[in-house]
Amino acid sequence: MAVKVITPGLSTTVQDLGRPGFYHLGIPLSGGMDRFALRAANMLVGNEEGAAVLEAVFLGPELEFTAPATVAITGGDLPPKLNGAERESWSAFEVRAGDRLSFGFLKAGARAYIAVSGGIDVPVTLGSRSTYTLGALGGHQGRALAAGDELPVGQGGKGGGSVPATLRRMPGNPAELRMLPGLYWHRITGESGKRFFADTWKVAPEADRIGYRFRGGTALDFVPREQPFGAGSNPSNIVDACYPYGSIQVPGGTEPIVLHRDAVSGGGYMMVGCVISADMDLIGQLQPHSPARFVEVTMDQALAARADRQAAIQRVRDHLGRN
Amino acid sequence: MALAGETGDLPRVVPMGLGGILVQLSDRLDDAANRRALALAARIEAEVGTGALAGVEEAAPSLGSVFLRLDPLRADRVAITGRIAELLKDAAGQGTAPSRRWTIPVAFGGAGGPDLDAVAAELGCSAQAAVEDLTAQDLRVMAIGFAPGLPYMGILPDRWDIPRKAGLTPNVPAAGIVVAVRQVILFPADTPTGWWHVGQSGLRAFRPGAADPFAFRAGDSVRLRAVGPDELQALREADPEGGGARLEVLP
Repeated sequence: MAVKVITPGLSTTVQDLGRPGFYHLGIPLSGGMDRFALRAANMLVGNEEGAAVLEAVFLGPELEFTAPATVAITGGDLPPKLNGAERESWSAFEVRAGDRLSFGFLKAGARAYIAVSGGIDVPVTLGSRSTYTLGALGGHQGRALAAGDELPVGQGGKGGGSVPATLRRMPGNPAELRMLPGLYWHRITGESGKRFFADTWKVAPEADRIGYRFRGGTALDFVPREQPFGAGSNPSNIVDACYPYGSIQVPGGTEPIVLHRDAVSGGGYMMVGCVISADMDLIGQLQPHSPARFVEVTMDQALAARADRQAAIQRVRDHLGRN
Repeated sequence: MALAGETGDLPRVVPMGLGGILVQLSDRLDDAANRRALALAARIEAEVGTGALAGVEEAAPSLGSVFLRLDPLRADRVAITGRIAELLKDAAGQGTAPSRRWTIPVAFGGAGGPDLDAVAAELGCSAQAAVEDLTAQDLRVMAIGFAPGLPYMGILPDRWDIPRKAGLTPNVPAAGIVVAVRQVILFPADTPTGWWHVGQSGLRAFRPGAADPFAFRAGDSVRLRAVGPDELQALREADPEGGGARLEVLP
């Protein structure tokens, strides 16, 4: 069984839940930007939740199946069509050999997840099938899909069902991104910190798997200090350190960047905080120019949000009978 | 959340989001702090997932800090912080002796090192003297990061405290050697950079698909060996992955 790529879309990559454990060698997490949607897509087709799927951004691919399979599309509202006829997102459907899957124009969100029963069976590299295009690592030949590619698919299980809208989660308007102020928060003035949360920001065009840049808010005011040796000359610079997933850096103090799944593993900008992982899924569904606000939370609130997210995944499992 | 002040005591152990803890040993680039970071990361790695460090999934050292990636629902931050304090005491003043040494042929200057003359001018010496100085240094891989397998090597003597370039070089080819701020980097892939491009090697630091894709480990000892451009070319043809670089395992 294989999936043939007729047209690749804008940038469609193979992703699973990612490749943790290699920060010390300069390898980012990679994996789906909206992991909730990725898990749900796999549940719908009867796969393990962490099986490899296709992540399409803004513009869907056109694919042909060489054998019967169960397919499901989740995530942003990128309307699927089978042989030209519209199908429901967030619902499993059957395909036959020779069937073609294509997509209409994106109506909401940014990324769709295409799961096929059996999972996309590219080789496992450093523990994951996820594509890290900057490192030419994993996925299909370490790159986004191209016309003519053929992707192997594993042996499928039994899928079916659909995930009702009440069990899904998409960003609001503006998107509210909960964050834990962090390591260098004390380096900006109190007034500046208040404005950071009060301002409504907009997603900049520089928004991809590496990170999402936000603009339109007030530039940060730094508490004056003498730069330590090796930290560069701008107050936003530090001695290079590890950048975790979700960390927010503000180069030059002007535009925050939230680092996402393919961000470099470290560098020399100070981090003012971290967006909580549940809301990193929401960032994966933001289009350029969408409004967003940062909302301060405590560690306890962040832990509660984490538990809520686990519960939301469990509700999908329960609904689909995948326990 | 309580945060230590900028001038507060180091090392400090601070939360970094829900999924991480940072152990900051120094806020400046410092050889001793880096050695401690590597030693501490090794001690943590040996205990990852057990005892007080249950819920710790990875310890990643950087130049002057160690990042711990956590499973937030399993990690007990109080227990982890306590155990780190103990390990820090044990690791006080300790460093890890290098267990491996690289010798890497590098063609300095010319088309493969267009910034060598400018760097020599910053140092106030001839290009040849700059190369002799650099190749006489026992470098150490202080951290790996920024890109897959990319080594930050140092720490060079004070005279090599050269700021990054004002502008960006659009592309330094893979295996290029760049310097700035008392450090040396060998780029695993073609990279735009603000560092000074002084030479070219033939060592592929990251080989996706290989059984061990990473040439360097933090803590490796490194010597650069000056060769002419023709010799480098011959070494690269004979050894496309390594460009004649040699790795010794030290006793």
